[in-house]
Amino acid sequence: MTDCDKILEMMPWYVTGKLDAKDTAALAAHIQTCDACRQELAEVVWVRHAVSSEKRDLPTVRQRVWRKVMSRAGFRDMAHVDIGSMLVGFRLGVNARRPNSPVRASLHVMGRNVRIVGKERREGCETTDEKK
Amino acid sequence: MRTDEALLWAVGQADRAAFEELYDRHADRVYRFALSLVRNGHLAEEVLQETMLAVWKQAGKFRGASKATTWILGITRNQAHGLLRREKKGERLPDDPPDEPDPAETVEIDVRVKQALESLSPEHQEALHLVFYEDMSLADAATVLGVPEGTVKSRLFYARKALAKELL
Repeated sequence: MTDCDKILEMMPWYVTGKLDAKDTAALAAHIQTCDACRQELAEVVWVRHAVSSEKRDLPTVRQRVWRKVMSRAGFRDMAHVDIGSMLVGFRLGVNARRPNSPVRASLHVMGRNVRIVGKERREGCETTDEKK
Repeated sequence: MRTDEALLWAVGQADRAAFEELYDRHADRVYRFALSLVRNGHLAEEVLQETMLAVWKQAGKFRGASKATTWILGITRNQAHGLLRREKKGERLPDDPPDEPDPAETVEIDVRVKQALESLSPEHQEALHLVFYEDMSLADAATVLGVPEGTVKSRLFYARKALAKELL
């Protein structure tokens, strides 16, 4: 394997900053003197940009699937009320099967949930409070 | 702020708040990786759902041998491949009808880049995604993909060459 081959293999992690200091220095020194590898590096940078250019938040997908996951994990509300929009909202849930903490309320802002009231547990598992 | 590993440990103790925090941190990442594997938004949502349920059920088995992200994306990959296998065999049960797509959340990758990425093999796509989108180290990408590091390097090399040929 030539020096150029080794440098080519390292390039993806050079552009993502995941290379260790020694290899980073070796690569940086090599491209100072090698036109072909400099061109390859430009291509790697471009491809990385193309692949990673679209990093957007997906609040609606996150919320929708979260409800399904909660339901299938056994956290099923008997009734719930949602107020607000996709960006900011309030959710109040009541689960009659949970005598200790039947009421749960949370705020969500841009898809991030902040619990205000209520503690939940996995079905079939005791919480610390219940053990007491 | 708790680390992902600490959250996973708490999830293993049935801590629902920790699970919610872990979900918030990783849902987008899991969804996007799933999307790169199954190439369909509805299926990617199913993969996200199955992955997070598996995380909830299996967190107690996490021993910290890999990073939490690596562990979760490994589960994502298994779930996606399992779902695709079941789809192929026609074994998958019908799901709830898909929700109406929300234009605001449509993944708006540049059309040319999207087409070029889709022309790559699944192996090449997932290598590109993990290294260039998730910024994973070589060792972590190899762990998620379940292949030697040399295989990741060669897949990445051929993937980026193919992509550059299409786009440059």
